[in-house]
Amino acid sequence: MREMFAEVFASIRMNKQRSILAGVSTAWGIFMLIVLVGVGQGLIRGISSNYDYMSYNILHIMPGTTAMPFMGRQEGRKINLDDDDAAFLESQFPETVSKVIPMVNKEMQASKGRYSTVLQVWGVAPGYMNARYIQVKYGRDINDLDLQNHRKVCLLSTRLSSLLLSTKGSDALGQYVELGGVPFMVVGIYEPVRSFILVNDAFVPRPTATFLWEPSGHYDELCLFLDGLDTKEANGQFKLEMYDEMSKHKSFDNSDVAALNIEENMDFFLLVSGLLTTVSIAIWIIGLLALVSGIVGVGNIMFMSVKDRTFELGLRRVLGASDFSIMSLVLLEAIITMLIFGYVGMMAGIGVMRIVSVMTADMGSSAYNVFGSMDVEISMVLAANVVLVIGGLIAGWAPARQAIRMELTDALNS
Amino acid sequence: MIDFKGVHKTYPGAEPLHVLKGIDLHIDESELVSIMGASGSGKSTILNIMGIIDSYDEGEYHLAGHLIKGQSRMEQSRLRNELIGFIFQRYNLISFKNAMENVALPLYYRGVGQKERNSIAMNYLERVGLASHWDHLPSQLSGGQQQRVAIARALAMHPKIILADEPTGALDSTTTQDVMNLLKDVNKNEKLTMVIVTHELSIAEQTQRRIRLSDGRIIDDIRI
Repeated sequence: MREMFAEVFASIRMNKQRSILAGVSTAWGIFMLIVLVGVGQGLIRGISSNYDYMSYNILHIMPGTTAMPFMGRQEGRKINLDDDDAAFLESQFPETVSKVIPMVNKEMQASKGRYSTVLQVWGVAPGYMNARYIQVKYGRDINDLDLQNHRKVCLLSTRLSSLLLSTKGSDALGQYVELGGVPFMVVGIYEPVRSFILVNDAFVPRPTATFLWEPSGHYDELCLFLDGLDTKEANGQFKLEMYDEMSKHKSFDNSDVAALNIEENMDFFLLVSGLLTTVSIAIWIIGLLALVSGIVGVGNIMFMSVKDRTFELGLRRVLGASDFSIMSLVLLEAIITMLIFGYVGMMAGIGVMRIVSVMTADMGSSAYNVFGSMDVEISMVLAANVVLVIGGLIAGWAPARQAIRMELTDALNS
Repeated sequence: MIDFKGVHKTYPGAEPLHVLKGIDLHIDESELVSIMGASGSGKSTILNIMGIIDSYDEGEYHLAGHLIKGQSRMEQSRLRNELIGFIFQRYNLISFKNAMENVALPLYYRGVGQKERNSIAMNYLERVGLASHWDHLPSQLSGGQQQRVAIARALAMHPKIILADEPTGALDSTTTQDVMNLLKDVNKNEKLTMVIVTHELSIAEQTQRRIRLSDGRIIDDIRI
């Protein structure tokens, strides 16, 4: 094999101009593929990052008021949610609903010394913050012991921590703030999502919140964690079935959309991801078309090469070269040409994408990103390698076949 | 060694060209034979068929006991590589390989390792008096030197037969005689069968057997 490579490099050296011509079109093709896919991935990353705080697999059910009479009951009836409803949903849809987390959500005054503000307090269970992609920056999340012992502990946003306690970093941990007049110890500080979501909020253990502010045992929200709803149709079907079952369970008309308020992001997620997939496919196709022009270029040059080397290849066959060794020689030359120049194009593409990535890092605003990182992924580089080898095989195949199909007498007389 | 029985060859085309019209020819081991004839008489076609470079339409051709008919291309390559050494009028050296690499090339296709290949090639270059020029490219050698490299290449394979197509056609008279002396020496010492196609009487006169072709037929076959 080493000698075969030596033969190929000798041939490339012998025909430098021809090889460079073939290589430039390959380098350009792979450069365009890398740049297009890099820009496409940057666009996808940028747009996706605007929605990454959304938990697509969570469906929120909130209490409502009936707008239609049902079974002798008047409209205007409040439909409350409690532990029984959470257990009902989990048992009714075991395949789809993996977990139900009830929540209490109250607006109240928070104060510390002479500082005070109005904030939203969420009574939650462990795991909720993680599911909402809320990152605890300092301290810890709500845990099971907090729930069992009805502890008066809370997590504040970085902004609230700074506003109420005049501290930065982890200094607020262990200090107390009053939520609705009740002192709570700060055990964690979280980063608001995308800098503007959940900025004026605090999280406390749900049983504590229920005990203090909702002694009726009713919840302000049930969070359903869903599995396996991959299509718009499946999602729509689940919502219909769930609403129908809840209407029977809570005795209201299943067409009464005011009885419960449903919020979810799955349809939106499916729409966005579908669009981004289409953009991604389109960019790959355009990039590959650019590369095809490179492959055609190499193919043409390889045809010329075989034509130029008709005599030499014929002579090799006369001296005992098999069809396989002649084909290998031509194919290997095409593949090596594509790989060498393909790498040049690839490195140039990766370099350009790195520079553009740095330059566009501050584009857009904190509220909405246009481009994310355009750095090329390793999977992309590996895919480009595979494309180059396959491209070399395609580009060299027909000329290689031509090389072994030549009549030896014609080849020697050429 | 070489046995033609009623061999015909026609080149197809708008007007098919019947080049060989029933050639019967037997050449023994270690014979030094020349084939002469005017242009178009079929002498190069005979050589090409002998070298398994071209095919024939009718008759039979046996080479070293092998019937040359219907073999796969791979088998043909193997037979060429093992049995035949070629010498061409225009030397046919690969321009980007040096003298040693050119001589070693057929050995590469036989699967001989690089070290052994180079050693064999150097031995034969020494035999043809060009050991000191082993690293010269063909363009750095004279016509006579290139032909001697081609002869070394043909011999390096230890073939059973050497086929030479106008081996001195491109050389001046002094060099022609040098090359002929070398070929005769090889024939004598190596006991190799040697077939030389030539249009020069002075060359044919140096062989033991002279065959003359005309219009696709053997018209003279003289053993000296």
